[in-house]
Amino acid sequence: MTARSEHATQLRRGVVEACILGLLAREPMYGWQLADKLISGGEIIASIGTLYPVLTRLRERGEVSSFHAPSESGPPRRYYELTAAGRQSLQAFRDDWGAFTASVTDFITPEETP
Amino acid sequence: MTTTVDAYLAELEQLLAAADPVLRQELVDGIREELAGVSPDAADARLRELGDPARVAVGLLSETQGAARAAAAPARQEPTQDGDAAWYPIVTLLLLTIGGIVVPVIGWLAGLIMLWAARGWRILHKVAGTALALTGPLLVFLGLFPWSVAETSTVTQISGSGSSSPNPLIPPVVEAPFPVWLVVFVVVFAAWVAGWIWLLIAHRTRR
Repeated sequence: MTARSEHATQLRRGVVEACILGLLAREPMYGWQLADKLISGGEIIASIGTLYPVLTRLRERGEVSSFHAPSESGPPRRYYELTAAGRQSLQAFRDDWGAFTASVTDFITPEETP
Repeated sequence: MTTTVDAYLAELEQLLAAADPVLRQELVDGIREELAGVSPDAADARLRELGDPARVAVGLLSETQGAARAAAAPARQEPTQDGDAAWYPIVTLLLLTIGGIVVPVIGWLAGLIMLWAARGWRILHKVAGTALALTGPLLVFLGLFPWSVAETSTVTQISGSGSSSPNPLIPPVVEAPFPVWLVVFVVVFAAWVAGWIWLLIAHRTRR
């Protein structure tokens, strides 16, 4: 993987929690599964190591909870799922995101020369 | 469980020796769960996909430290948020000193309200500020006093002498009250200015 620019790192750090909440809103997922989706879908996290501190923060805030469920191939897996607070937090982020990206796009788009 | 997986996880645990043990265990368990039921070749392929253990460890440590810094930043700003803005004491003092001259009565009252609403001054400072604000008119009186005396004496001189009119280009000489007035005025004015400076410093120290 190439070294990330500073702004790309800051941008990803700002959205990683919302991306996790968004993925878990679809279905409960286990750590490896979440990390795989976040890395392959736009390198939102640099490695699986980044995922767990974020999950811990979300769990401490009551936005995510975890449970163990049997696995087909090995020992039971720890799954993570969204709580009611997590759903509220995700909705709040969705509400802000559209207006935020529109503003930023407006600011950074080059002015058309007449 | 393959030997490669064991070695990988052992190295990862060693690299994360300083990390939060619960967090470290959750990460290691997460990787172990994924690799437990797969063939050795498949496990090797997954580990290559995962990347060097050092990179995974750095990911966890940097995320933990980044979050700790982000949490500490608002805490450092709290004293400023609890206090007044930087311009607040300066505007308050300007209103209390010259505000009443610029906008009669209202400017001075606004200064008093700001003084008593300030979070950066204790009750002692607010009482002192009010006293200093009241001293302002006294200083104006002291400043005007000799000129009113001078005018009176000039009028007396004109009516008394009759024939000789005073030269308007020469300012009237103030006699008896002048030296006493000067000393009182300088002392009170110096104390007044020092009082305001003390209030300004007191506010900055509390911020």
